Amino acid sequence: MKKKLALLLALVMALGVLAGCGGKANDGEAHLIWYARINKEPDSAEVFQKVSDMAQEKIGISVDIIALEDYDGKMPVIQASGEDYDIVYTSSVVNNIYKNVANGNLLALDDLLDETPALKAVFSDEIWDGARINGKIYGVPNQQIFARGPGYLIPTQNIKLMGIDLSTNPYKSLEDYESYFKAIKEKTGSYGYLPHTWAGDGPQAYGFEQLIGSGMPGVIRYKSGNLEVINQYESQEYLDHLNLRRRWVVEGLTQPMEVSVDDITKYTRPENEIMPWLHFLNTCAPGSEGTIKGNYNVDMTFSTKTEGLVSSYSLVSTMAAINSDSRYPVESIKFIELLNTDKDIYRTLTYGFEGVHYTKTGENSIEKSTDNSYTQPAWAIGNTFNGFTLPGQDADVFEQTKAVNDAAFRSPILGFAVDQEPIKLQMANCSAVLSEFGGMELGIVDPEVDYPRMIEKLKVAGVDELIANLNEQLKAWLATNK
Amino acid sequence: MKHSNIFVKGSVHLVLIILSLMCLLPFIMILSVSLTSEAGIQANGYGLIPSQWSLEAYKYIFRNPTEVISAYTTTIFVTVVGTISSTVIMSMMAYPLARQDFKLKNALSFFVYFTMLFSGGLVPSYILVTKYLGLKDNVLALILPILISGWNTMLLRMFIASIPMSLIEAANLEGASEFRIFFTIVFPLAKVGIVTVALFQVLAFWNDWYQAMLYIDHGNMTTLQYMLYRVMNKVNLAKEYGGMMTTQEKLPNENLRMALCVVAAGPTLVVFPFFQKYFSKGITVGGVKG
Repeated sequence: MKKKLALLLALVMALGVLAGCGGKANDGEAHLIWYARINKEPDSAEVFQKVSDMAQEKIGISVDIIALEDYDGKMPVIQASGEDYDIVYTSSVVNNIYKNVANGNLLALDDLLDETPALKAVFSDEIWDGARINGKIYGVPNQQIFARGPGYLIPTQNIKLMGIDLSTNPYKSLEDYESYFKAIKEKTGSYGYLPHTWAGDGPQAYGFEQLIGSGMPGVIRYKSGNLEVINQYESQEYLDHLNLRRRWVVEGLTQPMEVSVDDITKYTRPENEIMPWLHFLNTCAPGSEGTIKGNYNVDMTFSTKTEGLVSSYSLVSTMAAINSDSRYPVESIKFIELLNTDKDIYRTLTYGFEGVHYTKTGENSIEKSTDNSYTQPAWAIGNTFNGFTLPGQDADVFEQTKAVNDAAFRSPILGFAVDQEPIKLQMANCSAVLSEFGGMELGIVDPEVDYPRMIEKLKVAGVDELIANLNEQLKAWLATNK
Repeated sequence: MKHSNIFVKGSVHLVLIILSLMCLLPFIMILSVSLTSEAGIQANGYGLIPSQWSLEAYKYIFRNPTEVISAYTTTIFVTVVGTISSTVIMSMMAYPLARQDFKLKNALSFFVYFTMLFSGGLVPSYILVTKYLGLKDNVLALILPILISGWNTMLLRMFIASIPMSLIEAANLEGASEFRIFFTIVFPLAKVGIVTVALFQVLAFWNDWYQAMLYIDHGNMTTLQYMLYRVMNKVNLAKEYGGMMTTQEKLPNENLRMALCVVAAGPTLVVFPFFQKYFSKGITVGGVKG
């Protein structure tokens, strides 16, 4: 009995000793810990090791890449427990950057960026300034499409079959598609499908910039010069939109039931038949047609493109940041620089090994292997312009994207970040109300009855306090920044 | 007389048939959807018989068999080792708590009871496991944090308390040691309760993905549930950002969900009948005592 007890005690003590060995030996060389928002793939251990070796060779810094897929589940625990890490993914959605800044989790990068001129040169000063929060830079945006502008696409076969001449730009806004749906009805005897609702980035087509995410109340008319936050659901534009959609349904031009974008496969038609569909995209990026082709196997052509808008919200949508308690801030920023400027390292991490996970079809284009899957979200890793093009994408898709970014309209309040903490409750309430009235935006419910009810419910949900708070925040920001 | 007998019997059977169909149909539906192609689901919706047979969802899950096999291995190891050790340790804890002649009974019971109401919380537990025990990336991190359940310990205590004290006293007089009393008298007599608690623990260990999410950063030591969770996560992510960035991979969706269900729940369906005999008994006994 006593012997057994002693054995148990010895075991417990041994465990304690083992625990003591957990600490890392600090040999003076930087070994970074990066919690990346990427996938754990079958071969990811080998790929991550290779990336670390490459970084070791190029800048003398090794890195432990930890693929964290449930980012919002685990990162708060890691941060709260004070665990050691250096580089972290942060964004306006996942691992919320505003909350991180408020909690002091992130290091301000302004001074550090002076040590990495190549990284600083990836973006213009204007973009860096737009990514500021409370006047400081807390994250390095991942270069990608920043210009958000919605657009419509029509099935390519319809152009010929219906005799549409896109060179005259006949479709400037949604109202102009009345003739399109009328023609579909005339030729096929049936209505067309328009799955898009007002939410998403639809409001931008009416000149609204959304301040706190898609579909939430709180916009400015970004071209009007009047920087007052309003509730877009009380605007004339919104009511007009509802009435238009309702009229189309009543006249039998569009579908009288709910459809989602994914239903597109149900309505694909052979080449020689009209496809009764109008497609909506909330971001017209170069190569979007290829994406649709890849996802749904339908050929589409852009018929309307709204001018892109660069806003702070889109700039902070995917970022790399540094832990404020990092032991190696300088090394961390150097590694981020490498990730954003060095093609070899970015491509290895994003696409894996040549010959195993992909084969080259050109200098900058690849085809992925179907046997050995290695898939990573390119936009979560770094500068997507350093990537490969995939089948279906133009060879110059990155130049095109860059051109779109450069040409896009700059929000007059670029750099303004909303602190969502004080309006959390109202946001949740409003979002619940809005989801209840989704059918109205498709025209399947009469706005005569439901619109006043929705406005009333929004008021109860606290939309006025929400708008007032946003106005207050914007005024305070304007006072110090303009 | 005979007719009404048949009628009564018939209606009882009918009710039972309906009840069992209500339990069975969802399972059949899950199985059927998991075997339907994504296009078939989009065109015809869910059905009890697949409209278009396809193994695409299973192919997607098993596209990398080594990962699935290692996940199964980890899960089975954790479940077997975890269940055996947790049941033994909990019953060894419950036994003295059930003994009327044990002086510290109430004080120790309070310690167990206390953990049912209050816990240290997520962050302190995380710090304890990773910093003080140093168990990050260690298979023990998948077992230790959920090894002991206060509730199950109290449940076992109630089962053991129902064993007549005179049996234990008699064994004591015969000169049996405490260990011998425990393993040869108490353990077999409390079998119903122990098996019930063991089943609870099997399910707890089998279904756990949270510990793997928290404590496993490197290597392939992920549990089955966490692997399935990650697959689903990935599909959602690709959809969410589909409009933003080009994803050329076509991902299955609805059928994948159901196939994941089948893969994850299948083995427990096989295990359950073995426990069932004890399980229903265990629940009633526990209920009466509680």
